[in-house]
Amino acid sequence: MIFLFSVLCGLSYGMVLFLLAAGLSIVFGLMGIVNLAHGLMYMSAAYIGIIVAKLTGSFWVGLLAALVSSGLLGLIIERGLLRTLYREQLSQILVCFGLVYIITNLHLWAYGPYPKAAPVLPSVLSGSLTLGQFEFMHYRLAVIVVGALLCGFLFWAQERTKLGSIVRAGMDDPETVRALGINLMTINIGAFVFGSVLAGLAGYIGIPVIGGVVPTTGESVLFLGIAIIIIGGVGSVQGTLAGALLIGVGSSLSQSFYSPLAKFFIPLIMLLILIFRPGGLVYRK
Amino acid sequence: MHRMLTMKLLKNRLLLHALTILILLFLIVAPPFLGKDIINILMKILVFGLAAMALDLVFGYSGLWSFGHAGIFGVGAYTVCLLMWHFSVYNFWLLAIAGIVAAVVAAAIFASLGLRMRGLYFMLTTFALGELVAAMARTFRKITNGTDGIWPMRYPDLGFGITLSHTGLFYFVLVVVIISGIILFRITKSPFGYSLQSLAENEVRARTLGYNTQLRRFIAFLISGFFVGLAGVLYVYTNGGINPPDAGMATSGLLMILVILGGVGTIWGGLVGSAVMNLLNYFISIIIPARWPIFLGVVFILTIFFARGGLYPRIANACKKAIGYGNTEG
Amino acid sequence: MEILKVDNLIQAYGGLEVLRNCSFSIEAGEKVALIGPNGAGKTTLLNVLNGIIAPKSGRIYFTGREITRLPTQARTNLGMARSFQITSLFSPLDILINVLLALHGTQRSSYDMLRPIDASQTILNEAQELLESVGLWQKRKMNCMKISHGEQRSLELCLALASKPKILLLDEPSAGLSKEESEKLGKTMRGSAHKNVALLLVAHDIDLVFQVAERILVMNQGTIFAEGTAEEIQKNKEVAEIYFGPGVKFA
Repeated sequence: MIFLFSVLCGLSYGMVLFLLAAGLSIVFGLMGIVNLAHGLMYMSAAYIGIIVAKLTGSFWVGLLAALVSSGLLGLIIERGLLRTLYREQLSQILVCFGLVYIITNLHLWAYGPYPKAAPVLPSVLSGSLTLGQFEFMHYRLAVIVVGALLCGFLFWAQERTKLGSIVRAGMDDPETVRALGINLMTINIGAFVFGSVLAGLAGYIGIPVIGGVVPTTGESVLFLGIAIIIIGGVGSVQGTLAGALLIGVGSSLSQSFYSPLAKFFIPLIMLLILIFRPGGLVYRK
Repeated sequence: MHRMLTMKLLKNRLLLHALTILILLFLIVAPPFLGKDIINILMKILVFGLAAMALDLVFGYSGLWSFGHAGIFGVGAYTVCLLMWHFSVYNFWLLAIAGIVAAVVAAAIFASLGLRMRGLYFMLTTFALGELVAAMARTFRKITNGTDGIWPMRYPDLGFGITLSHTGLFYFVLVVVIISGIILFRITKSPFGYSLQSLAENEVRARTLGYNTQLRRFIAFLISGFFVGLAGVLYVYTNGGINPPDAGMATSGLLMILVILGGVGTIWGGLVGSAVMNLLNYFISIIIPARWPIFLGVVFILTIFFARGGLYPRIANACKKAIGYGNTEG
Repeated sequence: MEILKVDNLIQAYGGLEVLRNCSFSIEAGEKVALIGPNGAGKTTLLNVLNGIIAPKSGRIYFTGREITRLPTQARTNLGMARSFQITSLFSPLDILINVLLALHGTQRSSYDMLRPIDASQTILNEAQELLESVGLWQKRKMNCMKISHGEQRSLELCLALASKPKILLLDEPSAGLSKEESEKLGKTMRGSAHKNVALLLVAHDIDLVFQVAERILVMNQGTIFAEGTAEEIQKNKEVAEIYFGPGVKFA
């Protein structure tokens, strides 16, 4: 029973991670930059969602607020700062760090250092599943389902749609794509904003799963995102999913069965991948 | 021909050299009269400046974006602390050699794993390895004291009954960092140093001229590891000890910022970046204690608009302009 | 004495064969030109000779040694030099440093870490000689991207000659040069300074080819299908056909 419970917890955690990392992976694949400010979308959406949900008493309105805010933030960052520094990667790094410093501290100022939890859950999901001595929340089950659906949708989009092939081509050979007359700039911006929205989604629905949000969540979540890219590979839905689930389920299992390993688990897997399969689990080309 | 060029260069940089000499004079004369706090800040500037200068060799000259340099820094520092704590070794020279050797070994591991793939994967690989070092420090409590860190709080024992005082430590660090900076700078002006720039700029051309590019990248990383390890060793004394975050992602990021802020590919930019960052940090946190990161973040962003190539080149250029030379060959 | 021997090189990208049973040899000091229509595989051949690409099969021998799998820098140290079709300089550095890098490349001094790159008077003199021969010594402190295209091509050649090679692989050295510059280049190549340097010249510039080459190899669809002196090639009907189609004289 504890095994099943841990696996399920790990899956729900993994799904949140998947949504978080998907945006990071696409942006890295398309634009060749690691968006160091990605964690900020996750975190700020979580906070805004909490505030709005508290004010309106509705989980769903909070969700909407989270998605809109992270999308907007992504758009502002991309258009305002990153785009004006197109190709100047060093300046982009400096900007991202500056933003991290500023936004993290603003959050600390506004919300204080103590963790904030979700004030309200959707009533339809308030029950839980009994597994032996453990209660597995219906909400977490819903997270798994939603994550799986979105993953399926993204995979379908990647493999079966024209947009998907353009994006994949944009990752492999941007010159040719541009030569074909496709406006890669718009695709890049779209991917960036879409990734931000996904991160916001992850941030908001992930609060009950991860257990609360603090101002340093942005930083810790960025680390997880990068770890997933390293482990799973860049630019593919399957890779990001593999990395996210491996980390999610692995962390959960090691927490339950052998806790000293838990802190060490992610860097260890990263090391193994780097030695035996650099490029990640799903490595294209 | 040479002498004429040197004269012109000297005149060009007269103001800059004058400023540098003034600062050096200050650093030599003032410390006995300065409070412990200020000396600590100065030492922090120097130690992180050294680490940043070491990073610049690979980041700015060889085109290797190491996002895990704090891990190597941490290896150097932890080696010293472990030897002190578990084996009661206190001789500075033994500790320094051990710390530096360990750091170079770590650098070798980082480089051999990282150089297997091209481009930004190097950044991801070094990131992972840096975090691995920090994670090991957090996890193996019995060896590293886990998240509490190891705090020897000692001054360097140079042997022959000499132990440095607080001020003595400052002068020691000052001399070490300046000499290291000079060595690093000279390396960049040597055939080896220029070959690094060439392989970062045009790999195929460099190989066609006879340069073994992979080997050179590896060697450059080892040299960088040497100096970062040295910085880690000094850090144990100037900071009092080490704990896991000092080897982790935030510190690695900080080192990168110091290099970018000060000027990538200048060596001395690392020291300038460290000075600006730490001084701003100190003064701003006196004025508005909890909000200083906001100011720092704003400074980063402003630097992009007003000092695109970094603060050191900007300052150097401003000095040239001040005495009428302006932007000749940049 | 044979200095370069190429034996049955095959190279393919996926299913597309770019080099098919390519074989030829070059004597020490011999000036050979390689011509052929676009897509014949000339640059690929140079890349394989130079070690930038590995061939699928076949062998290359240089000064008697087999070098088929040897890395590029090792070949340079054996005496092979290369210039590129698209000017390939170190753009952030000035002209003098570019040349010094080329000079140090095959010397032990390339690992010097504590002496400045321009410390050695011998190397500096060699740099002066090289740059004066193309009239760039006065401009040596200028950034190498700030000179004219023709000057950049000359600098490109300097870099290749710096290692005092036994064989020089030149890829379209006169691309973008005026007629005078091209002629001057041809004279330099045939000059006494480079009498002992073998040459493999890939060029579309027929005048340059006739001016410089003692022997001409004609390449088409990945293989050498004709060779001979300038007169022989001019009279060769098959060569004319691959360039101009059937029924046209090549003159």
